[in-house]
Amino acid sequence: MTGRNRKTVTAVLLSVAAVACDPVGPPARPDPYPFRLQPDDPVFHWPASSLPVRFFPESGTPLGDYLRGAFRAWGGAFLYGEFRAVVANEAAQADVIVRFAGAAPPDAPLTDDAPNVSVCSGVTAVPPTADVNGQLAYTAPFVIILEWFDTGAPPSDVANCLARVTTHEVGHVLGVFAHSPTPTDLMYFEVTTREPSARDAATVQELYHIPTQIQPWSPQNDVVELGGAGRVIP
Amino acid sequence: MADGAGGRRRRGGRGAHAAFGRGLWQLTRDSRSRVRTTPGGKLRSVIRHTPYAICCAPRATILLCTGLAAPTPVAAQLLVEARGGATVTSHLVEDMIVDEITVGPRPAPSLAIAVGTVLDANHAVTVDAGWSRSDLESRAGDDVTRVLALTVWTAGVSIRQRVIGDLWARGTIGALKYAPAGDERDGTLFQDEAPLRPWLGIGARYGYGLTAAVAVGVEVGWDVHRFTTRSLRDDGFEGESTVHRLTFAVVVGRRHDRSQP
Repeated sequence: MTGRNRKTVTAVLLSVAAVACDPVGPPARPDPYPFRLQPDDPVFHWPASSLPVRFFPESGTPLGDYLRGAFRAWGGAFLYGEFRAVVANEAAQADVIVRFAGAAPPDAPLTDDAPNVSVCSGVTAVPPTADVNGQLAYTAPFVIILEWFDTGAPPSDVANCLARVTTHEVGHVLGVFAHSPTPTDLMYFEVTTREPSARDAATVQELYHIPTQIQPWSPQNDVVELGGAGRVIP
Repeated sequence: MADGAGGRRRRGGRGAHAAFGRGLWQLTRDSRSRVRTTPGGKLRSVIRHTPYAICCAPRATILLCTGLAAPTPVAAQLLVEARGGATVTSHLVEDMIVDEITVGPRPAPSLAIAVGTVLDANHAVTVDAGWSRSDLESRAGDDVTRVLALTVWTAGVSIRQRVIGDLWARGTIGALKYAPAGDERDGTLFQDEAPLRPWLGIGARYGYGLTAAVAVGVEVGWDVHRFTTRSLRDDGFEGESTVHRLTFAVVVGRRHDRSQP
């Protein structure tokens, strides 16, 4: 090997060594808030075998667009494919039904205006559980019900509010049944943001890395015995 | 500095070519050279034409370009190779969410092609393109969860040198592109970005000539690159992880003598 070759080989090896030795540890995340309504409630999240979760939006409404925005927003809270969702075409295939309590709102684009929280609301109906072949399972799909109020506010205020609340309710469907105590979090009861905060992300990440104790609803479930009542979460 | 530059100029012949080499671009077309001078007769620039299109010309590259163009008998040989094998990749991410989590691709089938030139009996240079595809998995304890299908494309330039007998060493520099399956990116570390990263690699090959023009061989290669994505940075990861890849491949190569019709 010539002197020039030796220098080249040395340079290559030093370059490789320089990039090869730099371990990166996990990040310091914010402390998650409790995701159960009561400390002894069973934990629920969608197992990998149930993904993608199918949401059916009431047809002829902008709910499909709100849902896609919500999926994208919550997708940013995960790193390892723990949760995926799609908009379903038929209610019979859906894991989650999304509808308005009354008429659909006027069509309006989403804007970045300051949040008007008094023009809409939403609830998530969590179905009852049952003993299904020795496992706790839901007996029906989740249902998200959205409502808007004609207060004279601009239609974009209504659209912005409904988009925020849809994303919040999807957070409940994820399994975050409790509300965050921090007003800047998406899962605070009064929703002022459209994106999950770092605390929201840390909470769903923790939720999806502990075993679920309730299985999702399936039409094929053979219910043996009712195990609990349903709940409605605002 | 001026004296040093002048010293290089006085070498004449090939030295005149090397004199202007640092930091210039060389437009090349055929085997003629053109010399430009200032009104005082001092050498201003030299453009050497070779059969290659454009060579960036820091000095080492100029040597490489002129080496490619040198009219030695073996330099007229075109080298074409295909490689097939498997690639094992280290973790892309190590995390802690309730339990320790590691994320990395499963061992992947890999294919590559290389086209280049034999510089002399002991050296060759090739341009390489590679592909591998497998599932990205996250592991937490005994739980293994598929994240998405992940394709990795590579492109690079390799310099090969005979070590002894039929044993060759290779050094490669290039770029690596992650291409996650588009419909599975949401909710993953690739949601916002499919990174393009520089990479370095080395390898060793044992080759056996079946005929004067066709050879087969086995190759083991190791390469390394840095990895992060916008989603990881948004989640608080600082810096970049170092990813190692080990590839085992069977090689089939053919040499074409370009002096023959």
